[in-house]
Amino acid sequence: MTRLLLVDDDESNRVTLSALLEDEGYVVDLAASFSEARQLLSAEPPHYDAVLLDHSLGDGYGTNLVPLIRRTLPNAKIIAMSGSTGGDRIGLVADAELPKGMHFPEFSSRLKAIVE
Amino acid sequence: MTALDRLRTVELIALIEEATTPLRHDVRNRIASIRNLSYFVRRKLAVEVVAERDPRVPEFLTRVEGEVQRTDDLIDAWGVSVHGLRSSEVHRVRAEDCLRLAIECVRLPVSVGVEATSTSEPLEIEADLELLAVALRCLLENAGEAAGSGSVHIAAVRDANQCVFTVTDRGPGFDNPLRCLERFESSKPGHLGLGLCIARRVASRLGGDLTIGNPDFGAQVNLLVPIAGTRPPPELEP
Repeated sequence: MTRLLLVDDDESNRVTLSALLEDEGYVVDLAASFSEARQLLSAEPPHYDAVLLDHSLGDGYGTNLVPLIRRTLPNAKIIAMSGSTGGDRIGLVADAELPKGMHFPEFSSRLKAIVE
Repeated sequence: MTALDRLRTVELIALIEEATTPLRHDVRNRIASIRNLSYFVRRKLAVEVVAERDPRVPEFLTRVEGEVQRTDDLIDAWGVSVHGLRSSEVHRVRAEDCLRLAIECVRLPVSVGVEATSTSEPLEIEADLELLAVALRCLLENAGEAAGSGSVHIAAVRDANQCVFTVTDRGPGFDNPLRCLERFESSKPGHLGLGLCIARRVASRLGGDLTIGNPDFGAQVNLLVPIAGTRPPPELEP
């Protein structure tokens, strides 16, 4: 069973995307902020196959979580969820990038290719 | 078109982009959310009888999805229009040339001069020369306004794999260093508070960064850009 951590400060995006992913058979844990994600990742995190990471998290930037994820979850894929604004550096340090506004069937298909 | 005119165009595009980026980002978030909600409902409807009872339900859902797509297209079209004014071209350029262009086109009070220093070693970076010059000019003009008189200083030096442009002035320093990189934050009347944000975006686009120094007196801003050949090619604007 593939386990994901979804880090996004936007509640609506968290709720809808996690519901869709769970319907696809993923186990999805949620972090609603930079600090929540950092806390979760610092204290022996569960085995996540991938971390879906938003760039702008309100209290910090997803980019700055990347070294911690690499250290605590060396086998997890880091997937940047870009907002198509340009200038986001997270795409440069992640393993893959999935635009947030992408139609879910395509999002799901690309996610599957990355994590499986 | 003079160098000053070209830089004015580049600066206006950068200004529009910086001012509209938060809005575009937020609208994109909403679009993503509505699109996913709509997809979720449609998928559930596929196994329910509600669509048979009232065919307007799937029809209206299609309308929702159409409106979302049109909104998305509008944002794309806006981006294309703005970037269509001038395409950003990244080449291997000399840091010294960026610095010189920024100084040539800087708009400072007559009582303020610019002192520039650069290393004897030629520093090459991969950048859009005019865009980087605009970023440096923003830093110089901020520094010049803060100083009020005398001179501001700009230097380009190598630090490991980075070219570091440092702008310093002997003005009052930043009121609130923690907030000085937020959009529309300015203590100066009549200013939008976007200059540092523009400079940071330019640095970030080139794979670099912008940092605020902590000098004993005045203010210091560092714009870092990777030395050419030390990182993957920078991303171009869509």
